[in-house]
Amino acid sequence: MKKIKSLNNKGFVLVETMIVAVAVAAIFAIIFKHFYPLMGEYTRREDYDDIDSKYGTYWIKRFIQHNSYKLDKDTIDSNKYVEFKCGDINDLEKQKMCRQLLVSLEVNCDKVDTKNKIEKCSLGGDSPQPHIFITAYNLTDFKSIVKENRNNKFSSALQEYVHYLPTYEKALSLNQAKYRIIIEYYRHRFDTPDVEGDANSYIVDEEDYNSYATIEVKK
Amino acid sequence: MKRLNKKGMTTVEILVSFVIVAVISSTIYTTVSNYATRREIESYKLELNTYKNLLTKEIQDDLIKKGLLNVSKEENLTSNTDEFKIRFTLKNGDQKYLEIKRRLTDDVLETAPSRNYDDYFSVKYNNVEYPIPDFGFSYNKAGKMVKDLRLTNVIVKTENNVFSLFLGFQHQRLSTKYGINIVCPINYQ
Repeated sequence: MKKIKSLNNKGFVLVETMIVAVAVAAIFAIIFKHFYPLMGEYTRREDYDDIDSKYGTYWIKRFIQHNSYKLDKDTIDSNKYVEFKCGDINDLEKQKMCRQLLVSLEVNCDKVDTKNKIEKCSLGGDSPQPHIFITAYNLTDFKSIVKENRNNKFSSALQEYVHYLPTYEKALSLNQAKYRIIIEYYRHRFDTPDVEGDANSYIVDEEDYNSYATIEVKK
Repeated sequence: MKRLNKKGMTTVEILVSFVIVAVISSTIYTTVSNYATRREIESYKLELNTYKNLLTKEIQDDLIKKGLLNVSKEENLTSNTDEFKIRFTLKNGDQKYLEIKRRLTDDVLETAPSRNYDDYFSVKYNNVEYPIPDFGFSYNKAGKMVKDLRLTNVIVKTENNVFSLFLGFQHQRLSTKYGINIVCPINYQ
């Protein structure tokens, strides 16, 4: 009978097992650390260029493109963006319509105050200021302005959105548009119609969120 | 041939192994079941977003391409069924109708419900039915059907020549985020 080579029956020592276990745990921890932020990013991107924001942005673009609104192109050249205000529309009827549109579309108008309230867009004037930015079609300069955020003008969520957007390398779009608008919306969610007593502000709750959209503008 | 070690494992060793296996299994089960729930929610979101995109696009396409001249609304809110009929008059003379019917039974499991009928929802645009996604249903104590996805809010407003419509859906696993919002200026030149 052929002699079978005797096996090493010693097995692993405790230290060897522990080293392998630690190595495997470390690999899993690294994978988890890189995978988990992706989930959050996916959730955030769900609110970028959604259909409500896209159509809302389209209607605001129509007001910007209207003859009664004069775009301050010099400021765009120097500051890299201008903020759109309904008050800059010369036609008073359109001004009123524009303000109502911002209210109905839930355009973000101000930051949260200490009482956990956010100011709604106003029908009476341009304060608080709506978050509507008109920039060049090519976003290279605007991206660096937003990244710097010198006057804390841009919220961190808006910074993330602008960072997510492509640069749009060319100076003009295929439709020869030279400008673009970027709009921040404040989506106030509620189970029942909004309460009358809280006409000028929203109470911020867990289900509220910001959404964003961009669209090219010919002017 | 070398004799094998026939000692086997001690009770303590077996117990420790079982405990380790049990801990690992329970952790994996919790994680997997979380992801299963998440997958289910994502599939609901996808279906509801597809519905929302389809209906919004159909209506906004008409409002943008043909132009909205005027809107009128008829509401018939009875104890049984809420009916909304919105008529869009477009600049080319076309008239398009958005018809919404809603019948909500008592969702709480009461012994004597005040609304003794099944949930029923219908959304029609331009005479085409857009059935609300079906995410299943349950029965209340009166044996009436309560749908998992319900059309709970219908808000139609016309203010300062701006039309706005909100259709709010309610589902225990989704927020009101997936409602339909249609906003359009009226007779915009």
